[in-house]
Amino acid sequence: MVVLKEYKMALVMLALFIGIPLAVNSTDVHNVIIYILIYAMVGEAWNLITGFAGQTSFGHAAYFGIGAYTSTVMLEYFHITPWIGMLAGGLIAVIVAFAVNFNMFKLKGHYFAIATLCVAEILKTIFSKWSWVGAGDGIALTPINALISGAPTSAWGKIAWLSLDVRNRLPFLFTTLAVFCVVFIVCAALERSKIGFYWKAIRESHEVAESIGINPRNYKLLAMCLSAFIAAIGGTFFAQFFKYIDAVTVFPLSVSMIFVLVTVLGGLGNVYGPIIGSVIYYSLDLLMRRMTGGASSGLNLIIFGALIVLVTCTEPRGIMGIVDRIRQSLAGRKKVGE
Amino acid sequence: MIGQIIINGLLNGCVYALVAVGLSLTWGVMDIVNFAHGEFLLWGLYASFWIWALLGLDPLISMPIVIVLIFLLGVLTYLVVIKRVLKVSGLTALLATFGLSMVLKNLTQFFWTANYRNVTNTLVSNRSFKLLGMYIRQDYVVAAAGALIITLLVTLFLNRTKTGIAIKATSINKSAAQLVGIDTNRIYAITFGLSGACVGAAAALMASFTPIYPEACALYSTLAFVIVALGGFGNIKGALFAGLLVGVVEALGGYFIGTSFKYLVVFLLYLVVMQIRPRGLFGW
Amino acid sequence: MKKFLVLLLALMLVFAFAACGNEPAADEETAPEESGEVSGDAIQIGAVLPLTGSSTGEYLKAAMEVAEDIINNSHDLDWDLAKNEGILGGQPIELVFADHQASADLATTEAAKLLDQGVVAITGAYNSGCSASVATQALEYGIPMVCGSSSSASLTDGTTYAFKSIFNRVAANDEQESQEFFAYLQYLNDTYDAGIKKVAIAWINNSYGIHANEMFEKYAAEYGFEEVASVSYESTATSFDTEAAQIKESGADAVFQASYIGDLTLFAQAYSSLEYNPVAIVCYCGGFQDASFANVATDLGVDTYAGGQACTAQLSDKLPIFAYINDLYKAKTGQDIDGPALEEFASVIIAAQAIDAAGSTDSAAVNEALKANEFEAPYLITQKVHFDENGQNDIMPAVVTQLIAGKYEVVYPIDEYTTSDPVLNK
Repeated sequence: MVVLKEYKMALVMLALFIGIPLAVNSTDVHNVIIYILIYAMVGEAWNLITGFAGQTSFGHAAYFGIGAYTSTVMLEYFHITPWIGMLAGGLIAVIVAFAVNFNMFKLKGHYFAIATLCVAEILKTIFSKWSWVGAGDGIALTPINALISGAPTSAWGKIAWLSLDVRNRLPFLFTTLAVFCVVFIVCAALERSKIGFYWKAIRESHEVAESIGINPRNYKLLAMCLSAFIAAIGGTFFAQFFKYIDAVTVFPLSVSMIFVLVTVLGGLGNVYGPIIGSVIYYSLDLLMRRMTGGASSGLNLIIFGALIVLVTCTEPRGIMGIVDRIRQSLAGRKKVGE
Repeated sequence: MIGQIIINGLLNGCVYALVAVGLSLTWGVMDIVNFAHGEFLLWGLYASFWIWALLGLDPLISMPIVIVLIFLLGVLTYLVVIKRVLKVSGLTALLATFGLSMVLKNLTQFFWTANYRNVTNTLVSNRSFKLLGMYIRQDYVVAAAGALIITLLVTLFLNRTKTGIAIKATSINKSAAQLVGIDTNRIYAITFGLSGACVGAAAALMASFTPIYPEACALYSTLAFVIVALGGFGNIKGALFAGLLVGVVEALGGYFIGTSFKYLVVFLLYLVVMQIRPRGLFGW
Repeated sequence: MKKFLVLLLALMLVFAFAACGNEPAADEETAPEESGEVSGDAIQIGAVLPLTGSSTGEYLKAAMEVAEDIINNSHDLDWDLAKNEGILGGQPIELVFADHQASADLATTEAAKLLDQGVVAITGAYNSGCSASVATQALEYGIPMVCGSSSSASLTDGTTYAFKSIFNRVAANDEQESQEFFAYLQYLNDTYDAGIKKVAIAWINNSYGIHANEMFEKYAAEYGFEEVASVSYESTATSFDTEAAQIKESGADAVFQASYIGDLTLFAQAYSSLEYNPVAIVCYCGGFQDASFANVATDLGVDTYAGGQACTAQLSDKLPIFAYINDLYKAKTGQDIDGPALEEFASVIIAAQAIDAAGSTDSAAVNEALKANEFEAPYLITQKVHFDENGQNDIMPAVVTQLIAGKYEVVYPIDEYTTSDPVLNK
């Protein structure tokens, strides 16, 4: 019962995420929910290192991209199911994150943020010139129905079962949702664990953290590696969803910024932040795109941008700030009533 | 040929530096990451273009007008957006300026389509003169000289005028500055305006050799972020030298390693330098 | 104030979900249309274009709308398609546009949206990478795609992608263009004693550039030219002085460019600042065809630039139907139709012709019709369009044009459509 109360919000959201796609049979809605889940997943990852451990990263696209490329290469070149590819991608992302950041936490604040940006940009260039992974051409996943009709690789269709069937997005949507739930639970658990407590201590004050015997660098490194792992999983789902990746779709600054945006929009340092931010970001994005029709001349992005400015200016703590305030005012009213 | 490459890199670096100086003011001094910085540059370019197209004024002549326009854009940005997010985490300001950058960028597309525009028949042509066997572009030289002069002016302004010193004081300690009677609100507005003015000047200098379209400034702003950090936050001189360094490294890296890798070399440079000097080349 | 904001946000969200909720209703409306064989309703043809972003999507859209006009209304031309109203005995077509903002992931979702809506054929998407995304989606639905102006050879090489059964491309690919360019250089050597031996290429590092470079290398060897430099660059670069210096240093007599308009402009400026004047500069379709490049070249005072084009305004006298289309286009946009726009125009026309030839909107029949027929194209020099089994238009759909005094003149091949002699830098 206590659990129910504590996670009331999460359960309500879960119910909505299951109910809405089932009730509303529209490609747009399904696509947007998949978008929301993928970016919320990476948003959760970003939240670990930036929201909890206080190290701003502007380069999470690096790990996102590694995940996308690893699983895609394994599936396309070696016919290995993306479930394994996903974990392998996570592992590689962790190795890269560890190697790159091992000596990086001596940089403070913005210096660190720009360093992460540089890492992502470097990877972008490398992948865009690496001909084994398609260089500037990128890699296109062979569609499932082509695999099934083509005799020699037909068995491949069975192992590629994470692959999205565009005619019916629901199974893919629910797979993504399930993985997102796992990520969410892990992040929520981490927040409440000792590690999460240490992270917050480091975020608030480096010196205090050191004085109570925490080695900030090790804990930051841990946060970064966990974060990279989750981001790589998000990347795998991205690649499976779009079935086509190249360096400029998965590694650029604009992708890194999306993770930052959805989390800050929702509420930084709060496990609900990324998912709420992502819901708002992508439903508004879709709404604007559809309202202005296909031929938009950028009008949709103008209104969208203006809304972001409006929301941040009036509620700087993100949407979770509003939620908190409503809660408080409700609680206050109750007390008055009592 | 190496001399040619280095000269081109240096001249290009001067323009980077001028864009970065503008960013350094807001980011270094105010600790606000202005994601719309590149869009300020873009609007500067469009302003130069339209003044040239409609009134026939060369970008170099209309520079004061563009500087004033983008100065106003900066002040307006502060008053309408930044002011409201100052008290919370810097990432919120980043979110707000990101929204702003979307608005500004897409407004250019909305008003003037995504067509490429060029300012042609300029006062200073893109012909070059020969010096020691190297071809030196006239428009680059003017842009580089302009960039150096304006950087110098900004430094003088910060060090010699009352407002400039107030800006520095505010950047070091905001509450102390308020205590001694500095109107920090006004100072911030001026800083933002000044940042815009730098970008406006950069735009006027670049307009003659840059194709103008909504995505024109994406890389300039990314590089400006790296340059400001490389030079050390809040350090105008640092931004200038880092800009020059990035220009040269980009050109040499492109020449020796391959032109596709020229920006990779710049980003690598940042990571390496930071290992040795974690607070930037000129950071304290 | 705060309460107001909470209210506003709540409203926005409700609004958002309501709008999303509206979508299925719209889908249900279109669903019967898709299955109905011949109803009086318009036949929907999807068009995915870079309407927002750095490309010239608005122009391509205008060209497609001209095609819609030609098909749906009666025009006094010596061409049945234009004379008659609609196709399949009077049914009009309706173009449904979507915007991919030059990003491959948006191209995927926007194409899926159109396909779910029940479009009978899909056209677009200008950027080669985006076209691949759209075609991949179209394949899963079995819906035919007629691609206008994307030029990467990989789209129709039959091996890189799986979608050759539904994919058809009007534009010349870089393989055909490379052959034509080298033949042109040989013609210059033979007829004008141009003395071109060394060739170099500058290419943008994306799908388009990579394959242009591959084909350049293949045919340079085949035609006996010496390749002295191959310089790749990122599209976002701020200047191309280093790249230009490398090419100049290589001492190439002829330079090939696989560039978009922005980079080509910067290259042109860099070449002229280095006082580098190769005998010929040949551009793969792309930036060269953009009308604004004509201004740049005029400003620099160079007549060296040549490149592949499907058509040019200089041909108006010789192709009356092309001239008529150009007038309609000019009334909409204020400028002459360029290569990519004409190819996008053609893609809509051909999609309609294929539906007409198939006799129904059934996608399998249309796919078959696309590969089986030769389509009348009186607006092109070739007069005809035909797709091979990989979907490539195999009737060489481009001529070599050269920018002489700000006008695109046809200089090669030498036939009735040639409008000028080539200008050479010697």
